[in-house]
Amino acid sequence: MTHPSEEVLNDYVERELSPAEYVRIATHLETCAECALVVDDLQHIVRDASALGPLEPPAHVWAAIQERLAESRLASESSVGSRQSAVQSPKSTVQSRWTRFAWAAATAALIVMAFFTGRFTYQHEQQDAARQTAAAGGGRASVEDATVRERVLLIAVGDHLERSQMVLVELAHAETRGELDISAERQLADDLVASNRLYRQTAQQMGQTNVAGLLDELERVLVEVARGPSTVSMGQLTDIQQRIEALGIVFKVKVIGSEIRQQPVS
Amino acid sequence: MSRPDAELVARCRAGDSDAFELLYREHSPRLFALARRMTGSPQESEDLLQEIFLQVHRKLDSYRGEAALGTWLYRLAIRQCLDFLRSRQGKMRSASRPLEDDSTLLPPTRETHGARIDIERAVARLPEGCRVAFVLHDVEGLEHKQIGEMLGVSESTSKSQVFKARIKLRAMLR
Repeated sequence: MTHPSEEVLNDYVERELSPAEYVRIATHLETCAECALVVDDLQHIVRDASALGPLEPPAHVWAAIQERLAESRLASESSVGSRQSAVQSPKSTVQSRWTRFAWAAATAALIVMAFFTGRFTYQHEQQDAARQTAAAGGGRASVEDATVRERVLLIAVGDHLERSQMVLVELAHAETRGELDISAERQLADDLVASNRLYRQTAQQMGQTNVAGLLDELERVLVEVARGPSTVSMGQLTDIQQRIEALGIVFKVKVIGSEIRQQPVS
Repeated sequence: MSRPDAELVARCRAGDSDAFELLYREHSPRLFALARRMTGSPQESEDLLQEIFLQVHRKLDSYRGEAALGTWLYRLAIRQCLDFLRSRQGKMRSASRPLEDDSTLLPPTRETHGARIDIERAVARLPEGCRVAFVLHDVEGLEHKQIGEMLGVSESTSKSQVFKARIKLRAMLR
């Protein structure tokens, strides 16, 4: 006896055979238990599959959706009004965190810049006196001064890199199937750009070429994010991620940030 | 648009979070089942359901009421599921998931008992290509032509994938 193929038996179940072929298979099934079992199994699968119903999602899914909606709402509210208004909603914990974070970064940068501006001014005004002191005292005070300045810069830059790394890592690991709201990251990148510029200029003045080079690369990525849209499509997000990946910026930030943190305190 | 749908959508658009929760409660079981069966993964289906409803929240303004709300949501969910699967294929993540991973087992629900639990488990263990075609055809009741258009394959490829899925399921369920 020649058995029909499983594909033909499947077509029989689907009623996709010609009338003549259908009758031929039906006749075969009357006398062939083996093929009849295949057909019976396939019919069961089709019937069971069509009877599969809805599934109740776990409760935490709705909680997560609510949380993400709240974050998104607060981020968009903040990007519109946080700079104009000091009044915040009691629910704006996430945005408050970002805002405080950004202000901390900006304030730290200004303090460091003020410190160095003062130092450079002082250094310039006291240049002759310093030279005289160095000549008289073997330059010990001048070396210590430079070491302290360098240390202050590196601590501040280490902190700045850690903040920047958070933004880059969030973007590098973000996923979306449609559109993604990155307004919070965009806002933070915008705030970090200003700090970054100050640190880069200071590092250049200090002759810290490695740090200045890294900050230069970092600034380009931060500017790109800060000037980009608040909501990105999957393609736009991929572009940002590819740019971050191509520059190896997360790795560099991690390495230099780690080196800075591991340096002994003078 | 039916009157209850219109009212619910209007409340959601006005920022009524209770209305959005109502919409979620009403439609999430069907969309969650779709996501679970399309991905074959509990964790990914939960993430996907989140994405679907965040997308719904963002796009509700574009709902014109030409189709029933449930149909609009269902279409949006299918698109999200397919985008997700394409993205996952790109990242080759599915290749690393073990075939016999017990994490794919479903928790018991009122709807899943007896033979249905077996077929749920078995569907989750199908290779992705034939699982998607099987779910869309045999579970969701879509035509091969529609499936071919959605997946960017021919109608005959869709038929062939559904056939493969049935044969594999038969082997698993025997």
